[in-house]
Amino acid sequence: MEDDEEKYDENERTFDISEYSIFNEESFLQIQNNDRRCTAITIPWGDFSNSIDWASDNNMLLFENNDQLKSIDISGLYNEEEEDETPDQNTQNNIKAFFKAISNNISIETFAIGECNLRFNLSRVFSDMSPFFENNNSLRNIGLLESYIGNSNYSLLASSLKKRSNKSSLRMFDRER
Amino acid sequence: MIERDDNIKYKVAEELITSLEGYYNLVHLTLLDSSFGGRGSYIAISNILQDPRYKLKDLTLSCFDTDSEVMTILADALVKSRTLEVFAPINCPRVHQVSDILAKASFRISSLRSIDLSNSTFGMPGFRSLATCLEDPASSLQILRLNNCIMNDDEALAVGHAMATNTTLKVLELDSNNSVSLVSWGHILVCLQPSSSLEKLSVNQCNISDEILDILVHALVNNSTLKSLSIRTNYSISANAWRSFSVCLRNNSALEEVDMKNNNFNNGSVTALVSALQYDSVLHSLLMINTVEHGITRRSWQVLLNTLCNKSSIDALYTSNHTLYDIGWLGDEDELHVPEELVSFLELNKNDDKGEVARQKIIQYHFLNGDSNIIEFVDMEMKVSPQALAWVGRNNSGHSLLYRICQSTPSLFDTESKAKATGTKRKHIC
Repeated sequence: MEDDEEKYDENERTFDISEYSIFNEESFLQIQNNDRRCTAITIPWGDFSNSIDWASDNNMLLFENNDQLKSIDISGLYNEEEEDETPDQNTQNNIKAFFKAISNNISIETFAIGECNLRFNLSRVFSDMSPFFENNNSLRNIGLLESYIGNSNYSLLASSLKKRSNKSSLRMFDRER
Repeated sequence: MIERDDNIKYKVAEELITSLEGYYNLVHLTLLDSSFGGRGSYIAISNILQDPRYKLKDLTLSCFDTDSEVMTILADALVKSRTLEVFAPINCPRVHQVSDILAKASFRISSLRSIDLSNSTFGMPGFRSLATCLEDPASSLQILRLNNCIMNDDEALAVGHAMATNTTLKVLELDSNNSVSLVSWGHILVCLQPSSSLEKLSVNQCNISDEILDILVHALVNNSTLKSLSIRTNYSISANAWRSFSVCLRNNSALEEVDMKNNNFNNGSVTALVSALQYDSVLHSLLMINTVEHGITRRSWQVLLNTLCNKSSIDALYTSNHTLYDIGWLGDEDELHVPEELVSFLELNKNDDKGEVARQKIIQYHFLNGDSNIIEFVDMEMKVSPQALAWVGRNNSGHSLLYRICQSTPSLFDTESKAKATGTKRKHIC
């Protein structure tokens, strides 16, 4: 069936993360081993101050070497209601490194961030993500939900989408705030 | 300063929408952010809408901060769209002239299947366009959301008249329209006439009176399409009037869920509603409870228990209600004095195999509730007993009963008495 004949289901418009695995040691290993059982992960509520050092060389390659992961949902990078509560520098750097680690993945079809506050040194984090938005031919869905994105990130995303070589894969762009 | 910030914000949003140029396979686009309020953003969206190379089917966007000039640009583009099926302009300005432009255009989108004009205050011109769309047999509109549209009586009448000939609409939401008169409700509820295809109706917080409820009940008795009714938070309906709703629970065979939370119930109305649940009903959710002050007493719980599992006989158990599994949030069951058995009956009813639900209730509450009924197996005709035993032992839930039957019926293992009963002779193998 051709794409333009696909029947549109209104229910498909939501990012349903109920089937996603919570990112933990087990899913980390699954991603590392390119395990086909791990196709969707969610990283909830500030798990970036934990022991994973995303800036390390090995972890930087984690997503690049994986072609089974189809969906990623990142939730709650600092609570927007607690704007004054600046995360410590290490956590900020770790989040930035994580986004960079994702940027060379080519299998992710759905990328969503929810309840995230892309302020502080994340105000230009989409710059680190630009290879992902420009070169990942699998990307179908982008969700920026209930999050502060900021003008710089908007501009960077726009620039990446303009440069993107494969414009036919994207089906859904969802910005809700 | 604020104006300058807005300009930067709008410019960036425009840049983002413009960057989607060439994404012809984009099907779903949601832009709910105050940044998307600038004229440039709407022009960029309009370009996508009217370009036949795009396949956009679902568009949700914020419409605040728009003036009639911008709205006209968007409206012209909407009419030219050939693919848009779902359209939800959120936060339309509460200015009739501006909203009317959008509403009039929306109802002219030929491919439109679903529209959400909630929280808009479009006026009579917009409602006339809606009526024309509803009356058009070629219309493909199936979902109409008009929540909190501050519909007045004339506008409601226009919708009501159009509903009389409509056969396409499946979902109608009219929540928070609380200025509609009895007469107009009478016209709107024509949407439930037997020829309609409406499957879901929502009239929460609509200031519905006893008289309007009466019209609704009469319409539902003869309706065979509506599966879901939401009638929450209508305090004007008196507790006693809810008793009349039991008529449609007794006679309607299509309703699968009724949400009537946050209403005035008393013991009598709850008892009447619960007693009306038929064993062959398809109703699985009757949401009445969401606070501790719902007025349900032990007596009502008992009636509900009896409806779900009438233990007086096998027949009564078999014809108990096996479909209802949701009555609302039970919260602190101890505080609500919810009988423990009720929770397990509701859980049991979640099983789609209703024959199995009946079997489990019969095994548990007829046979295992004391040994006296096991005698029915002992006295059973030999021709029937293999089938009955197979029915009992079909799965784990019957194994305890099977064990007790075996204990109580040694003759099952007495080959002489079996032979006598069946009239056959044992063969001797030498």
